Amino acid sequence: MSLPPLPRAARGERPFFLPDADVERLLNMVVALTGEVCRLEDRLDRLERTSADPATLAGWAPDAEASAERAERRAAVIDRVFRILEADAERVLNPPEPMDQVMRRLAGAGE
Amino acid sequence: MSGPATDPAMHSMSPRLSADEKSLLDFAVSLKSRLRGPMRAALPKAYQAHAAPAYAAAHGAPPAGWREVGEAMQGEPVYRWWSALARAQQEYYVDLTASVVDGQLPELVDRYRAIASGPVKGSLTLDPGVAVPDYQAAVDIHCVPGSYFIERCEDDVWAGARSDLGSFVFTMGRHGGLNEDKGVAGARFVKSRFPDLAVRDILDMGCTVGLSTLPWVDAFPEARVEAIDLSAPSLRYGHARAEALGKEVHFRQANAEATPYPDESFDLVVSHILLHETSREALGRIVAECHRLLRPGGVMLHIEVPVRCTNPFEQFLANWDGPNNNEPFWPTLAEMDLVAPAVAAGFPAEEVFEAVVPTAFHKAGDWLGYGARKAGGRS
Repeated sequence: MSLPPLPRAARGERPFFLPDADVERLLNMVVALTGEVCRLEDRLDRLERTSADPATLAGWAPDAEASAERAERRAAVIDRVFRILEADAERVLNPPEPMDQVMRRLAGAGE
Repeated sequence: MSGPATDPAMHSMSPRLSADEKSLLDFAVSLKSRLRGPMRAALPKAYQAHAAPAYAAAHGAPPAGWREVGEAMQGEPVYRWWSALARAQQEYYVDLTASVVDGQLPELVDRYRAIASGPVKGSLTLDPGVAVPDYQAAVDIHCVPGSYFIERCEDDVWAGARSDLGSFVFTMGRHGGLNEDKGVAGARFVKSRFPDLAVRDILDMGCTVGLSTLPWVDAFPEARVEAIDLSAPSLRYGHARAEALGKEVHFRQANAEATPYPDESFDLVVSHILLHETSREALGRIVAECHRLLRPGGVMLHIEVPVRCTNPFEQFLANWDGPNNNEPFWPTLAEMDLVAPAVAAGFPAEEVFEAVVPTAFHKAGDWLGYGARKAGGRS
């Protein structure tokens, strides 16, 4: 059965949220690449846990403990890749004192 | 109660996942759950601390409604990045589930044919004459290229299989391994609110692949369950899925605005997250059709996303999917008077209700239940 390819774009205008739409296009690529990193992490994990015996490898699926460990590793990859966005969110919740203000205060009256 | 399901419950129609595909889906779920994390938590603060005061300074008054909140939030970097990441995640998991199912479509079609041609409990009635209405054709709902309707081969089940797999990822397993939460919650609600209702015939409108239909079979084992949808690929898949799970459902391709069933055919007419994918005019016609189809004393129940919010900021966030995830009617539904269409359809005003329907699993928040009971039929 030879099928025509699925369309890649959903019908309907696509919103862009960032002032520079090209930056947002790059974000979409980063998301996809992060998925590939997680997939490769899991593949390595599978190899390590099965000692790379091809027969064992094919039928291997993670048990609950391995799944939980993988979920933690996945969360850690997301932590690292999207760190700047969550750090900015923290700064919204706890706004830092402006640097020039800090500098003036530390400089004291003697400056 | 255990936590959210980590894997979809498999049945003989389920798309199969390679280990690598499962890893990518796991990543999509992890990224989606992160969208409810630190960035989401910062949005109200960004609004209160910057966006609302800036808007008030420019306009002489704080934002009055959710649209004004949206105007105020456009300049907040944390909102922009959260939204950009949410849209990117949506497109990512849709593309992933689309390609996973596309890669095994011939086998899925074969499995559908094998199940449908064997001994079955339920049935499937397709009607190629059913047109796709504007509210489903104008945009691809949920940003799924091809939507529910693309057909590229005979007996195509791609859209249904992708919807089954995609629903699990979209809900992050929080609606159960079979995505049964809406149906389970709805059936519990009906039994507790209408304990005297004798249920012989149930109609589920806009059933897609029957995720929410099957729990009604379990809840009312003596009843006959019919389910309708516009999408033939979803109905084919849903029919085979129901048979694979041993449930008797009679699927039919039909438009909920005008079904082929005779007057007073059902004791219960239900839908699940259908109304927000329609239009104001269609909603009125669907409610009128519910009234026509119900026997005296019968009940209409539409389980909906919790669209009603108590303040403009939360309403703005609740409406995000409307313009940004191709759900164009959602914000209108959030503000609609739903009593009027039910009364216009013939339901007594005092029998029309909007109620909180508690989730049966791990969904964040509850469902909105909108419905009415038809006059008569009670001793």
